[in-house]
Amino acid sequence: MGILPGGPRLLAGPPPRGGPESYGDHLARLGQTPAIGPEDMVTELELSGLLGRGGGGFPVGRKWRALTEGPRGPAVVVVNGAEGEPRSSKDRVLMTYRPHLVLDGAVLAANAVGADSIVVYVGEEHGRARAAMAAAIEARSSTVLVSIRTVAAPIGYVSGEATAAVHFINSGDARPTATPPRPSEAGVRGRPTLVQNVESLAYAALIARFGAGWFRSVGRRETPGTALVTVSGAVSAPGVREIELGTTIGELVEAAGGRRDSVGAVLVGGYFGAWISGDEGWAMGLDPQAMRARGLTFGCGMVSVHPAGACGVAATAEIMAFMAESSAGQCGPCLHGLRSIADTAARLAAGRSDAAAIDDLERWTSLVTGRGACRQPDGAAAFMASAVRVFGSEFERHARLGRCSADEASVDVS
Amino acid sequence: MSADLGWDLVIDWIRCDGYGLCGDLVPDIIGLDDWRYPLVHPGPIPNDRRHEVQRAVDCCPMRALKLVRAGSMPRR
Repeated sequence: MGILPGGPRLLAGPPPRGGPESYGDHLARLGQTPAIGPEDMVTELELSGLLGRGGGGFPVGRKWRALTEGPRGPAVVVVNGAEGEPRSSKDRVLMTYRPHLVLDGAVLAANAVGADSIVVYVGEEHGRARAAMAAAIEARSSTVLVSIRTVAAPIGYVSGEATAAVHFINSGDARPTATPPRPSEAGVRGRPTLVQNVESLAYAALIARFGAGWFRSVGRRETPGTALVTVSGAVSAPGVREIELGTTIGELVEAAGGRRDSVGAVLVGGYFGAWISGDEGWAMGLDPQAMRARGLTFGCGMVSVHPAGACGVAATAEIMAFMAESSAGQCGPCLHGLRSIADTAARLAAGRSDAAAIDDLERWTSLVTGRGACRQPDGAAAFMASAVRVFGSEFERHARLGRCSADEASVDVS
Repeated sequence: MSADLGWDLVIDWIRCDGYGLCGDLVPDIIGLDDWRYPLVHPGPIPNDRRHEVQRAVDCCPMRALKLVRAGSMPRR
């Protein structure tokens, strides 16, 4: 079975090799941005069941509804294309090749939530995506009634977090802020602000045209539709793909040129996500609802394949080091806790620790959760807990013998 | 009505600098982690402890703590 029975939706249209889809081609393919009233738009999104694609998975209709019911006065829409996740590139691919679909969604969002300005917030390192978005804004400058400007998001894992994005746009500081107030209450220039991921906006533009029924005609009942995913690691054709939600990891890995016996474990959801063993993960559907039931997250759709036989402790330590370094450093438990976890994981990986280190890891992991302004410590803790669950025997082996079965395998062969 | 439910301690994690005075004052309600950042024991703070905890709140040099009626704020 294919991973996308109804054909692509977000990535439908001309093949990517041609570069960004022009405004003319976009209009010829999909027509003008539909004239749909705010109430109808929000209702359609609610009926669709579309979940946010930035990582949090919050229902998009409910988010827009909150702004229509929230504080009065003109709102702001932030188009979030910061994409600081190291192994994800689906947002920049979408912005690079389908910039007008993203802009359609932004214009529809502005209309629905009563916004008179749009801020397109794209990671400064994503040069092609920024150029494509800027050109797309320019191409429709005479037809759009709201003000649209671009802001380059600084490089950094937390820059795309909603309060960090608002903080940066307001004052040039991309660190998260304490909530309340949420951006929906007081965001850009103190105004109610919708911060929405670019894929979510692109899908809103399609739902406005084709309806909730169309959206729900593929995928799973609880989590319908298709999604963009980024496959990396032990596959021969890594990259961004569109899949029907519910597609199994095995189907996706095979479509990307991987094989069952080459999969040791899979990291799903992002660095914020979790490891799942190859045995457990192969038949698991990439379905946000089902994944949540197993304590996993679909997140930004990252699927990173850890090769069979490679050291899971070292792979974990490398990601934890990144998580600790990308802490904004504002909240003590995140700053100190993540550093302690990362240092200990690195010592274990290098074979310079003992069993007490594993107890330390587990204790610190349970200590940092929920103790920060944003969810950076929660994400890092969930990731670390999954590592101990999936690679537990490797961790113990490292602690006891100072080396792992990956070394052993190479020793046995020689 | 809601006073019967007791009180929640809300921590502004960005302000908190780990002085740990709160935990020293009411250790059975506010623990401290390895770096002297507060660990609030689960469950609401009963009414009869409110004044002691308020004193801990007032002692915070960073003004990072706030007592609110239980359930009136999201947990984070």
